[in-house]
Amino acid sequence: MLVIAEKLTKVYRRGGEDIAALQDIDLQIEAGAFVFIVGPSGGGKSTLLHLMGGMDRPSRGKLTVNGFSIDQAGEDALTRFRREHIGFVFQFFNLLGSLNALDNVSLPLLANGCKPKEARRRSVEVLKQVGLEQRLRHKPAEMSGGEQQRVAIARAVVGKPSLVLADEPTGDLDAANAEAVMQLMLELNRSLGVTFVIATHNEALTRLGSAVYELHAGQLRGR
Amino acid sequence: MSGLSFVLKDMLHDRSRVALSVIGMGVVIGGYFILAALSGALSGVLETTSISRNLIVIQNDMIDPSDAILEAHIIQAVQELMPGTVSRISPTVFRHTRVGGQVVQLRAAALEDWQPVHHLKLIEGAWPAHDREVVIGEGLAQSNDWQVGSSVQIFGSDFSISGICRSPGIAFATVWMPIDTFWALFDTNHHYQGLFVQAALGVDPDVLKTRLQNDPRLVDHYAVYFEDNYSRQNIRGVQDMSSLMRLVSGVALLGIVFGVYNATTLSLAEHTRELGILLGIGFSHARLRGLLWVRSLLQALLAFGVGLVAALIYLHAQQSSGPLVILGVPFSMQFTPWMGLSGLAWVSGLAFLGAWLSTRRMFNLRVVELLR
Repeated sequence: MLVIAEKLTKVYRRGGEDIAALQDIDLQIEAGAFVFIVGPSGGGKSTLLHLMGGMDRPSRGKLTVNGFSIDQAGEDALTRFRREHIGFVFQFFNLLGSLNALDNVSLPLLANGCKPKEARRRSVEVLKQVGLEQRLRHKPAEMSGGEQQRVAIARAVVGKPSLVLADEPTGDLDAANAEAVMQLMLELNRSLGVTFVIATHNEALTRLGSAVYELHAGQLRGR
Repeated sequence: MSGLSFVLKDMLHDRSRVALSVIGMGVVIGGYFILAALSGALSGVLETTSISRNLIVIQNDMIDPSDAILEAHIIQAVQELMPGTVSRISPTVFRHTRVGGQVVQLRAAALEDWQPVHHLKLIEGAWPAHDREVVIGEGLAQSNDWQVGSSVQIFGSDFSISGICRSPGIAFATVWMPIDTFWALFDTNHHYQGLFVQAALGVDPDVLKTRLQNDPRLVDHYAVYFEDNYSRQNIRGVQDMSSLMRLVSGVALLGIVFGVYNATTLSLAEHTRELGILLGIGFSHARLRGLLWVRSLLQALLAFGVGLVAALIYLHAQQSSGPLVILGVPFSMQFTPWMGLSGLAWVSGLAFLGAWLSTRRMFNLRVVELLR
């Protein structure tokens, strides 16, 4: 199993009250899976993705990704884990406006200590894979939403992670672009063998998933 | 894309804000250089080595020599030591008066004492030959663009500048007047105010000073100084101003820390989400901090360049219009390579401090907090 969560709980303290964003979640995700997590806003989807991505720590329970125990790791170990194992796709693309597509995609490789020339070669390769070979020198502001999300996906997979986490990747796109982006992720899942866990509101897209989970008020159930 | 190229692209993207920060800090750095140049000029005057071994006898506790009175029996007491111990004396009067719109020191002594006792060196023109002629110090000539033949009004009377002279040691902006001309102009009952004393050849001026200090006619009422020491005491205001300049320079340096802190904090606040993204995709805290420090350093170095150029232009313009005169002393503000190098070291060090202070809190946050 690539992801194993046992009694995973995340509690936030807000206004003097404890709010459980996730409660006693048990979850197992196989390597190479294409998994959807659906549910209403505030149901805990983003929190679960942040925990799996090592961007936050659980309050209780155990969480292991690719053999790495997130619940016990220190900050430096989490940084290394993110660098080596995780790719992230955000709803609002979150590309760096000062950099062109090629430089944005190169970032994870540079974080990993890759030489600039090699990083450039691999980034061009991945941008070709996502159909953006004509947009290498374009900055985010010069691209459409669908193109920006393609760049974000390329950035997420360029470091050959074992797990790509996508938080509402189609939330800011029209239906046609949403379908295209989802198809692209599915293609990459199949061609690269990378596991995808996608949080979405869009129930229609879940037909593409190998597994679908519903997260509601911090409780997870399979479909 | 290297880390440096990443930083440069980010700065270029954010160019209007970077330009504002650079100009803001550049003004502070330029101010620092000008203050440093002024402070250096003031210190230079205060540190002028004593080249005159003349002694001056003056009433005790007189801050301004023009308030002093030199009694005849004191002149008599020193004259008794001539020629064996004392070679020459020169009773002198001092007066602060407004000449050409600025307060200058007027000195009057017997014309024959000007060169041998007061060590005046004529660099242009001639010594006064008529009763309406004066000689002025070169600092005063430069600061007012006065030349030989120029006319100046002193105490309501017109005088002609017959010559421009250079005096050793502390160069006051002084007008020199023959004593008879002075008596004719001012009604001071022919009172002198200070007595310049030159030790005879082979006599140690320190020994002479001690001897005069212990003379019963002088003791308790008169003090004996080396001329340069007395001049230096006389410009204590300059010393205070030099201390003030150093203080203000220190404040300017703090301004650099504040400027970098502000610029970095603002940049961090505006790029919080981007920092979260970079951390999320695997950049370590140390690597990001390094990039932010490089950005702050580059910004500070740009500001250093702007400040340096602005200060050099100002100092050049200042020098072109003649030396600055403060408390009757002409100053020449100079920018030295040492000032530039020490300024560069300060700016670089303080830029790191400002960046460190501003990034400290940010990097205590978790990635998700930065992404919110």
